[in-house]
Amino acid sequence: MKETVLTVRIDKKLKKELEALEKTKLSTTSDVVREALFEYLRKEKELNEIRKVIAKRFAEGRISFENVVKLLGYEEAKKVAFFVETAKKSLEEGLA
Amino acid sequence: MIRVVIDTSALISLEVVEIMEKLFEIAEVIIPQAVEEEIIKLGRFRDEEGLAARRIAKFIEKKRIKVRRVKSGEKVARILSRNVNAGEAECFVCCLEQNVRTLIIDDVDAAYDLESISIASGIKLKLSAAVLVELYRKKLLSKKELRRKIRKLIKTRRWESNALETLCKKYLNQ
Repeated sequence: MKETVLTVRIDKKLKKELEALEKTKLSTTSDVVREALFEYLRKEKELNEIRKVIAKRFAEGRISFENVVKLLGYEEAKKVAFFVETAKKSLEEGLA
Repeated sequence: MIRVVIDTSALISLEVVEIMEKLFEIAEVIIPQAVEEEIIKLGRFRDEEGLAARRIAKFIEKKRIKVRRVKSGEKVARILSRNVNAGEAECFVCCLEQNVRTLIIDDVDAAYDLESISIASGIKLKLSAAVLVELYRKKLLSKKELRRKIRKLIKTRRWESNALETLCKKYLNQ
């Protein structure tokens, strides 16, 4: 696969933690950052798919807010409920 | 005429479905400088959104979209958070300073963080889909066009796409 270079600015504390991890894992900075980025993107993708399904069911009225809380946690559930409410108002009221 | 402030994500969504021209017929569109800067940055990309951003930049050049400088940097700084970037924070303060009551915003995370202060300030947060509904109500869009554009608009969303599709089906059938 063709590779490209990514430059990222990080604070000193994070850099030290990264160096410590490099020693324990006997890897390079690039390896650690690449692995962390890969894991983050994979989790985000998964979470996105889960949110997608749950938000649809909540919008359909097929699952309750309490169940959304159980599945996603309180903060994410509130966000889903907020989106559904804002979308409903946008579609019902237009710009009024 | 309605006055609205629109954030970058919603501006892009609305221009991807080629609706800005029609929106100018019913609304005065205002953006803060931070949004103009974001639009210029997005215009460098060679994709559909980049193309939409370049068209929006032309509307700004022709002053069809009005750019306002936000006076209270302090207020902007107070609103900034992990989810609310400079563009969204300036949009909110722009609403307060320009006495605009509607903020069209498509970034759910940012809108969610802005919810409580928007209620306290009497500013309504709306999704870009509200613009399509308004144009339909004002007979500037046919029902067929509304459905087609909403379908395209839904594709610009992330996890919200399926929920929005469900709600659109429900409300458009009513």
